[in-house]
Amino acid sequence: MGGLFEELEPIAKVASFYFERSKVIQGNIANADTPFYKPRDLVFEKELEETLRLKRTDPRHIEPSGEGGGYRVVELNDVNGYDANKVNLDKELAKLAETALMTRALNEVLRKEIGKLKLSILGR
Amino acid sequence: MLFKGLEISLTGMLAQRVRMDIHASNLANANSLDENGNPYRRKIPVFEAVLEDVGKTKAYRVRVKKIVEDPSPFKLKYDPSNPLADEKGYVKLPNVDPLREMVDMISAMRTYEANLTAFNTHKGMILSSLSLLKA
Repeated sequence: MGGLFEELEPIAKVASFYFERSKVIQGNIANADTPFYKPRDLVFEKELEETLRLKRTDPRHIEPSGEGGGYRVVELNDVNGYDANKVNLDKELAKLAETALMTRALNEVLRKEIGKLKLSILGR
Repeated sequence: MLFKGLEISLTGMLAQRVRMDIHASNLANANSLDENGNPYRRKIPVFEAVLEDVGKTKAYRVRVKKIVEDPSPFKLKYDPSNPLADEKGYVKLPNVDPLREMVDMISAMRTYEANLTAFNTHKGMILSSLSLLKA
């Protein structure tokens, strides 16, 4: 994407980050009774942060792109579970609610941006 | 890939359903003998996390790895008039504690609900993204 749609790209990237994060959290909830399962989370990598912060003003700039789309899965070791399974169900549900709200908010922003583009194309 | 999240939550619901079935069967057999005349042994499901390749991200679905028998000793009841009693007058009863089974069933129900909530939340996210088509 670029040109007309370059405003949309970073927003869409973050939206897809939250979408992927939701899957990881759902995996944690599904494994709430699996012995020795450690919950996982998805974190921003530097690349994604840079995509958001930096704009490519010159085609010679290196495009921030890495495998994994700028985020990676981490194991959460610091969580204190009361048995061999470390999943805290309430925490995971709260995180899931957060990802859902963020996705919706970002989709709302995308909708507004698309609306603006539509306005400039149609002229009314 | 779009619906993988829903599938992961579904495996969670399925696993809890199996767990519920097993605890219900334990409870139902709290006084049963098996086909060899031995007391029924309590069954326990063992879950396993399976790596689900969802493209960029690695998430884990769950599956029931196996169903094991609880090796804890049978309950003994003093009942000399029972034809199954041993020479000291004790009858062996299944190692099922109904209270424990009830607690496990409630736990399975709650986790099932959590997975259902996760399923619906993810569905909402997909619908919200799809509604961009109407923008």
